[in-house]
Amino acid sequence: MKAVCWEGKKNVQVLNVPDPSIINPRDAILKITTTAICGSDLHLYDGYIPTMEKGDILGHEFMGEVVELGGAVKNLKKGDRVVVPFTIACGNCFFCKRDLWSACDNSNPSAATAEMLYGFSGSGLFGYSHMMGGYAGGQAEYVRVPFADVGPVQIPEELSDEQVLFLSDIFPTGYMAAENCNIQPGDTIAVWGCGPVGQFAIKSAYLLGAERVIAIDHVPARLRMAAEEGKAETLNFDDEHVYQKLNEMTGGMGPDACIDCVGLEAHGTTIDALYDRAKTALFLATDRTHALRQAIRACRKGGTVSVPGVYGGFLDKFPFGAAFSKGLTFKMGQTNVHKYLRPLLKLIENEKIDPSFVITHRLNLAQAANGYATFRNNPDECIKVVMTTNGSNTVH
Amino acid sequence: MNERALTPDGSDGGGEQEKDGLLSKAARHPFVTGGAIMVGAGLAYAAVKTIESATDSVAREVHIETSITIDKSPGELYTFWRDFKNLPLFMKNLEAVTLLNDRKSRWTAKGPANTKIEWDAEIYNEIANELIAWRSLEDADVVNAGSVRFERAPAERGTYVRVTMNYNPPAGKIGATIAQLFGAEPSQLIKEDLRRLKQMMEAREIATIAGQTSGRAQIERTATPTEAANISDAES
Repeated sequence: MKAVCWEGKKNVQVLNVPDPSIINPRDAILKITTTAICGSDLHLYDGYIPTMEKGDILGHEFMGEVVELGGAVKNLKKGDRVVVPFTIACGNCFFCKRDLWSACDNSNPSAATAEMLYGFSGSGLFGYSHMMGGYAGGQAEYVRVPFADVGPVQIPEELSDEQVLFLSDIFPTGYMAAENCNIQPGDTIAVWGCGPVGQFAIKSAYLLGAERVIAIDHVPARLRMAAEEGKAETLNFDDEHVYQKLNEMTGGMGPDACIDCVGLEAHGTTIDALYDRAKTALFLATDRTHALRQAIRACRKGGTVSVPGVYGGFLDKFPFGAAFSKGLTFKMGQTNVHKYLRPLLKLIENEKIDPSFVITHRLNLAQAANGYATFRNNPDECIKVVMTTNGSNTVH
Repeated sequence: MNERALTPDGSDGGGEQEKDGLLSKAARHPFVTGGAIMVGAGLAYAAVKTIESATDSVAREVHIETSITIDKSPGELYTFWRDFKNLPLFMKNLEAVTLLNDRKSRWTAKGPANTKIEWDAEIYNEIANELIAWRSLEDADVVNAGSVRFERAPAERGTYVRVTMNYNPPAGKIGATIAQLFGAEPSQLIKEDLRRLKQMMEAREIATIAGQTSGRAQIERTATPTEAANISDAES
């Protein structure tokens, strides 16, 4: 089959590889119909995530048709059309039972490696480094899905792939980010980063009852999408002093909650951002933290900072004093996708949201290398890339 | 206390009691003859700390203690563990355990370059649903002692499984071979075994990517006994 393989920093290639097969009784094999490139795939592309190996198959946002089942999977049958959570979870452990699916104890075969770095290991993830299990991802024609009896959700016929594909990650991720803000009537939510997760965080914040959502970025097309699709007020951090502007907009109080949808590769033009760049370039720090610092400073007293953006290592100049003296609450982590699949599918079915609005590029899987480069280099033109495996290749 | 932990009539062995003075006490053990090599091993294979220590003329004592929480009752876990035939399902380097009688068993572990390490062991202390303590017998390739305790965790969290093991790194060439086989972090090996046990008991299979496809072309391999042992009917 064809699969998108990580061949090194800024080098992905579509290679012919062996088809996947059932390894464990709870596995399923899917024939992929549609898959997407995630912003967090760019962290892999840019070489920020350790323990990638040449030849690893990428991709954690995918859906398709069940073509093979392990002996222990009784709730699916061949031909079922499903979306698969990017987090791999057993459904049986302490964490799964408490809806903390991304903390599953039993799905990461390299838990020891993650333990060494983080103290404890999260769940296995598709296509996201060997520290997170080294599972082959779904930017491919076929994929092996472990614990297929608890992960995949069946999709009604009348919904298109593009409407439901993002249940695999970015829609639940944006939604959990907003849910983590514990939104109350009258709340203002500020969202850093208007990539796809930011777009879903904006929409979700409104769905969960926010009064106002303020979106912060510096890419015009993304700010435009946040305004037009998300109905957010927008701030361009190139033009405006974010803290001051947020203060003005909220009557001197600050946003009730701040969501960092940027993560470890934050861009910025202030002194601390340039300092981060220098430090990460010299490997003195691993993550660039500009957006998170700004969010912590801007957040109102007693507010919440919610972090769906991915961080991998050590943060420098983290303003813990500000967080402490304002009594902030921090909520973060990989998304507990399984918890949100069905409720969010309901929202799509009831036409409360059509997640396909983020798609700007539709490619064929064979064009993946192009897709990565475009997504990486032209953020203004490219917000979300989806790829199909069936030969349709409309390039926008 | 330590003496009892290693004497044939010891009845309260297991746990911390094996911790101190194993070597000196074992040297007086009636089963340990003067020429016996103090090859320490864990459940099946616990290692010496370093090749250096293994080749020291004076062996050092190694004590391992590790634990894991498993969401099953102490009784279920005790029953599974007490059926020693199950142990190779999650203990990576253990090839087989053959029961000789109710208390005695023969253990076979994989050695380097297709060699085998074999020893006989006996259960010398046991409390149903709580404790199993074992030690190797006379003429064993590997002299060791260890215990596993099953303690009910609070608030329906299952069971704390605590494994304790003591052994003395061997001297000489055999010691070096064993060290090579078992690596520098024996406690990590035990921890990984316990993690596999947890996965088997909770998820009914052991998470693995062995044998999956990749851009590195076809990886030829055969299933390990551990993978082959995955239980086929999952609980939902």
